[in-house]
Amino acid sequence: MAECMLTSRGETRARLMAGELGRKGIPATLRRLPAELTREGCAYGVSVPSEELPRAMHLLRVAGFPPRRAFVYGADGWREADT
Amino acid sequence: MIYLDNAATTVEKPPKVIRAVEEAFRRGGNAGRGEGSGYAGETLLACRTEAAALFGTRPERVAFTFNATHALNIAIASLARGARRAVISGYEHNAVRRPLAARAEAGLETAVVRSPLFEPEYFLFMFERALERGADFAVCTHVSNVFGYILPIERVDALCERYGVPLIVDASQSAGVLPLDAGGLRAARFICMPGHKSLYGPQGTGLLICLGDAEPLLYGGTGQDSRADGMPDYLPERLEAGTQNLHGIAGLLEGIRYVRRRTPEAILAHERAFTERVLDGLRVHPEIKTYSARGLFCQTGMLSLELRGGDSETLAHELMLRGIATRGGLHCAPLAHESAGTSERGTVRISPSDFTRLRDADTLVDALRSAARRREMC
Repeated sequence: MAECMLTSRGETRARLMAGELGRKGIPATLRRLPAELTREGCAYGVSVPSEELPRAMHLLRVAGFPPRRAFVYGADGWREADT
Repeated sequence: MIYLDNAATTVEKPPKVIRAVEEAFRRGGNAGRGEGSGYAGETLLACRTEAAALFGTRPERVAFTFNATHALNIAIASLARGARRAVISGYEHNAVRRPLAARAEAGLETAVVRSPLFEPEYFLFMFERALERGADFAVCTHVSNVFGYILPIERVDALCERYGVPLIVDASQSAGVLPLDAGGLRAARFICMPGHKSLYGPQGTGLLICLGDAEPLLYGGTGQDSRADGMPDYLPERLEAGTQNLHGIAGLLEGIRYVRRRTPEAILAHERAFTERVLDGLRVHPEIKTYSARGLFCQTGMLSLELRGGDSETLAHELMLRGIATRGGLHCAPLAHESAGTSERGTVRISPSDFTRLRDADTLVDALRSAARRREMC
């Protein structure tokens, strides 16, 4: 099961994202982003299983917390997900 | 001591507030700063979420400040850039008056809407006249910190919307006592409040509800967007430079939970019951002048009074000698005293809280009667 990382505008929003997904039954973990995923330096995101990515994206958009970007971790490292 | 200076700060807090502060000392962490910050981050979000539920907004629109003054300074700085004219009520605290006065040399004119106590319709008439002359923004307190006078903030908001004027609401004396729905306000850009008064949190806490864009007052580390020269462009982190007051916020969280459980309506009813008992006790003592609205229709449980012709600080001191803590003087609100005609000697302010015992009203009345008798004998 591949890992997906949904990046956020700030810790507060990341926590809101994780809480929203958790309430909807999607396992979501708050994470400090790996350096390669953030140009701005030091940022937060939410890790979710890759098979939940489409539903997670949908739920977060409906809730008003659209992620900045979404990444999937594969054999060659992180790549931007097609959402 | 009978503490009746809760408009300055509530001394008695719900026990859970104190326990939460102790727990924060044990668990600690620095929100937004690393892997050990889970409890801290969760606590901050929980507090934002509780505040958002109480005031009808979203958690990310709730920024932490040190107090209401800090929140008001952010709000005013956000709207004053390039502004030429601000309209304010005649019941504003120095936390509003002074930040505006500091911008006078930069060309900001402050129009003060003068109107008598407890005449909200006339106040609205005068406020609209001031808006008609043009304004870049307006500031209005929800409740006078001297007289407990409830200004019709929803109708002020509607006037500001009609004239396209962004509004700052000073909710220092109303937060936790009066219902306030940010979602129902149209012109309001900011709502500012302390955490340590009627939200029953510790001192050093405040909230700024941002209903529009906001400019930082402080710049520094946020634990996020570290490469950027400027502060983050998103709320609430944009306004929260430096380490947050976790211990205070942990207490504030429990204070807000207490208010939500009790409801502002029930708290207001209790405080008004105290004040009505004081007014009943003083009814046959014309030498003690009270400032109250008929039936407290536009007044919280706060009450200003004076011994006719007497100095307010002296009376407050006499009460303190009898173990009753009140506050005399001008209450950092000379505008309010000018509006009410009490600026020469000030007033003694009586401000109960949800923890004030109703029977303490009788002790206060007895002490005031004694002070009045002594004054007559002198």
